[in-house]
Amino acid sequence: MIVAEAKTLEEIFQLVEPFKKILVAGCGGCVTVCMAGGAKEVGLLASAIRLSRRNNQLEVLEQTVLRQCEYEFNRELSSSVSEVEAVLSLACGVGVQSLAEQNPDKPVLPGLNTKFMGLPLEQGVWAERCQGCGECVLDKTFGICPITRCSKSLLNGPCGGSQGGKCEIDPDVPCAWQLIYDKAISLGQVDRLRHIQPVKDWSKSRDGGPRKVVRGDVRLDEIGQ
Amino acid sequence: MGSPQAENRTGVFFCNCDGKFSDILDFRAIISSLDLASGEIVQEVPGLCKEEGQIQLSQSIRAASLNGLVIAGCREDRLNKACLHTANQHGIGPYRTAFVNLQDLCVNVHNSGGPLNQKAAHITQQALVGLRLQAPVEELKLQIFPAVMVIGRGEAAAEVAAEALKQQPVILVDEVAPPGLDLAASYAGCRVTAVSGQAGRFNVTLQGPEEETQVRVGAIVIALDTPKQIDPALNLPEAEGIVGVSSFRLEAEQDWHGKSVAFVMGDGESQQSTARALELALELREKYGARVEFFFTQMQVAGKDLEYRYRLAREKGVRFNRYIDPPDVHVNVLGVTLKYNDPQLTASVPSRALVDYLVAGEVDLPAPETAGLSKALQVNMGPGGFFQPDNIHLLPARSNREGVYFVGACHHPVHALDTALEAKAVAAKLARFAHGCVNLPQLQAVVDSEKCALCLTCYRTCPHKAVDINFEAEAARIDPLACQACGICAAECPAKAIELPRFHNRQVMAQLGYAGKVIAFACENSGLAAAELAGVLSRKYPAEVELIKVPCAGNIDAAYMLRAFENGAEGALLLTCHAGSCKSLLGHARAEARLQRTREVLASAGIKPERVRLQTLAANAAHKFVQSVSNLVESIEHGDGETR
Amino acid sequence: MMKSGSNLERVLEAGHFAVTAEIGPPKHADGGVIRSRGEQLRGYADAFNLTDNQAAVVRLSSIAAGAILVQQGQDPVIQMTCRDRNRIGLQSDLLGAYALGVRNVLCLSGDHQRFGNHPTAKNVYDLDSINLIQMVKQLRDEKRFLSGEECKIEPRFYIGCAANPFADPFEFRVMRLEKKIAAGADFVQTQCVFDMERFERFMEMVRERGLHKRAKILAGVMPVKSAKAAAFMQQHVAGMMVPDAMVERLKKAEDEKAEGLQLCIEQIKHLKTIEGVAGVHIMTLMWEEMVPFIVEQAGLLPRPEVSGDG
Repeated sequence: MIVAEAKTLEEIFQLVEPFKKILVAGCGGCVTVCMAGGAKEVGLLASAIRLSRRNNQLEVLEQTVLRQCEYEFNRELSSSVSEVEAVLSLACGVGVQSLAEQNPDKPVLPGLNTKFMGLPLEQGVWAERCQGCGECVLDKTFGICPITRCSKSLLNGPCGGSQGGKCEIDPDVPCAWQLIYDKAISLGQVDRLRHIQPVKDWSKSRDGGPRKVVRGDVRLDEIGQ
Repeated sequence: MGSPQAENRTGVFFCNCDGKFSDILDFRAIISSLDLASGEIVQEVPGLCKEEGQIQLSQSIRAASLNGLVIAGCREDRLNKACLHTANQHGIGPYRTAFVNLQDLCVNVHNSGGPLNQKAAHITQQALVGLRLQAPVEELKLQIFPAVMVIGRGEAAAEVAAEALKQQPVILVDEVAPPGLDLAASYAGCRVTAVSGQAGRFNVTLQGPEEETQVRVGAIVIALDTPKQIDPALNLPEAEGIVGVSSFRLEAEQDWHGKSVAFVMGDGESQQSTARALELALELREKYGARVEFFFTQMQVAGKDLEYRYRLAREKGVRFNRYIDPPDVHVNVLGVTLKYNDPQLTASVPSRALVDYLVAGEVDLPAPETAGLSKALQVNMGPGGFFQPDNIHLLPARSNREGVYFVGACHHPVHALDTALEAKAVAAKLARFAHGCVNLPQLQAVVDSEKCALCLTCYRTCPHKAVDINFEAEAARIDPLACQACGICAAECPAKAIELPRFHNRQVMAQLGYAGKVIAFACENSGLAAAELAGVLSRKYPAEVELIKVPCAGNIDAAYMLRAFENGAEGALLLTCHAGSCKSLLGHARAEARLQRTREVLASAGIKPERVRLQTLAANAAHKFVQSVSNLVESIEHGDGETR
Repeated sequence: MMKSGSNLERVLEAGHFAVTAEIGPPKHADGGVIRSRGEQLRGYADAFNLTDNQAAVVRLSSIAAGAILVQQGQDPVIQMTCRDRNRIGLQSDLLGAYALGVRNVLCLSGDHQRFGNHPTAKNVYDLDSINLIQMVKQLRDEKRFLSGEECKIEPRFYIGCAANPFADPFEFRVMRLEKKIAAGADFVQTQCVFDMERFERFMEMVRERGLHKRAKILAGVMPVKSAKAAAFMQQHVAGMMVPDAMVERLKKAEDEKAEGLQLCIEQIKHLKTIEGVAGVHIMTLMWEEMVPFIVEQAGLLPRPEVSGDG
């Protein structure tokens, strides 16, 4: 899932400072699951904003849609959006932008910082697992992504800063290449690591410019034309 | 999730206790300040605990076709009973009848005046809006498996199996069926590897020497035998002639006449060990006239028959020697020599005893399967690697999961002394499952599968492990039998998809609309009870303090605290049980975490974070309740509260 | 035929025990510092490494510093990390460095910026060090850029790589060195050797795989100024191993600095005896003035003069 975390309340209070009526829009997708932007957080943030503006009235509407990254679901927000001066979105960056696209005449503000694609290691702890580089190498690295989990995204083994299974940048960060090596050992395939991974084609990643996936077979406007 | 009663016709009845409350409360003012919805009525009645009062209540119910009652009066049981009886007669039932304890929450604790009347109106209004928003409570009829699985071998397992057999089928795991017991099945040499389902419908996976078996039972009793070890604190050498209590056999000698035995009991050993030692000492003495020296440091007498056996042994000539440091023990061809300092004699010359055998006190070790079984059954472990956390609400036999119980030393050595009694107590709990069906009102947490995002928060957080994943509905499912209705999940759920039927978010939020300057969110197991006790004891505190009842501090949503301040409250207090005494184990910790978060919000919004506080207290700590609310009110009066 | 014709290559290929020394460029724009260092160390090493923003702290560029040494007639080894430049920048700098007379390049991943003086920087890591080695070799031997496009006048570098026998996983270290050599590394400079036992085990594995015959291995050494400094490296620097005995010896010494130098000299003498060690690389961490002393005391003078083969 996409993992996000709340901006500080100070930042948010500043963002909504110019307005007298806003909508706090939640998302029922990833950010609900990672506890950053679901109905619960919408309610808490709306309360916090109202409290901060108790001497300078600000009306706050609250609404959460199924997924803010879908135009169709966001239409449910249209009547609330029309009532307010600005929308504070508690979705990931995708949700914020889809709302912004759909509402060209309304400021849409981000209430979260979108962090990464990852998973919960335990309740309340999320870790990054994928960077969406566009060309998956997990088959070559035994299911552990060096692009994401090695601090230097090294493709050919650990740098000299790997010690005791930890990365040099932080003793809490496991060395991805130690993990890869351990997995290779348990699979009895260490020899596969001798192969030199060629230079990566980053054009398939974000470096190639904004990306799009087009599936002709499921596109409706392609059919019958 | 049910919606509120379609037609709300609730009547509010103030009992003025034959005018006694009228001296203090201004009922006219209170009544006129109530917000009534259409269909709601309010009346003042002189004495609801009397027949005339009940007749008047009946007439009013009939006249206004009421389907809900708020009874505001004293704490007396007879008032409650009489009103409930009348309510039942009119088909209103317990979940649409609310009682307001005006006596303990208002009359006894505040001086008369405006604030008191306002508080009386508020707490009555809170009960009223609670009923207004109360969804009908469903009666559930759950089909369950009547059989019980007993895991373990030895005395405890046999006792509980025998007891349970009187009422339901028993399946024994890891034990050959003891003779004379008509068991449904027994799986010797099998190990429990996984359990799915919930109380009433457990599906247990057993790993046998050859194959895996699935067994369906309603309840599980863990009665593992515990290994014994000579108390290591005694520091005894390993030698012939020195044995632990449980392995000492009278058959060791053909004839005990003229022989001598020393019993050495440690400080930390089980009562069972002491009891057995006394029994052996008595027998050696009585039957054979053997010389028996009994060494102890603290004589355990707080257990069944212990005191009696100790006295009897003394009478029969067992010599009791108290020691401060454990005896120094040496073994040679002559026997076992104990060198010790008798605290009653001058300590400079050690006393000596030479005996043929030394029988040592033993401590119980956790059964080796404990950790594995705890994981498979998802039951918590407690101190010392045994089962069961040290929590007053779980002791003696309950686990954190409904339908899983303990018998014997496996959950703590202290329980080993009277396994027969414990087995009976557990069997009484098992009786609930014996009929293959359980009826219960739906008062437990319910998941709205439309809203559920399957984030697994409830699944991971539930202290009772009452949450399963319903893959068909793609939503969490809270088991009504396993759920203890603490509401922790409801307050944690990031999708606001979980509600407790009687503490619904919209009920509490509406009640917060009628609350005072200082709001005490009170766990009904501690804070509320303490507040009511303050009433019984007539301990005064400021009338601006009002209570919002919660089933557990773990149900106090951060949103409740913030809403209180939004509504103009100037202070809030979370009244929770002590950390280790929370009925739902995690409630206090969750309340503490939400307190911190709320404080951060308040600070950012320019309100002093100390305006929201947490007080742990026991149900009988009326003074602590009064003190903590008074301190908060005082600090509000002193400081300006706002940092900007 | 020489690959680059650099002095370092000539010395190593002629079979001499080589000496390289590290020079840290300054944190300012005065090239005079490099110039005077170059003069001070002239004749004490066969080539001088110029670090590339070491520890992710901004310093005068390694190529510029290398060019200054070239002007003095010295043989620089420019260090090049993948942290700050993508393949375009790296290749451009390789062409530039070659044009300025630089003939040796040490290909590195580079220290993470986390502990440098710009921790909020974006890092690049378009390539890793092995890919960088491949790229430098391809330019030299195939006259092609990474893209495959022709490079008419190719930069001909003597290609170096680093190896750290003291990082984990230990067994992977030799494998990784082998990958670097397979990618095209001609010489290797190791992390500072303090734990001789572990280094010997490493070299044993290196010899097992015959790696010492495929590339010239220079063992890293460092004179430690104090017991405190040794203890710090022992505890806080990832990928460094300092034996307790060494810390103890420094602690007991009357003059810790002198003892540190003595230790370093002993280590060099020992390293010379290990089969497969083709030279030493002296890293002094702002104590460059001691290089002449160390080289002299270790019996490594005079440095050989080997003429080019054409």
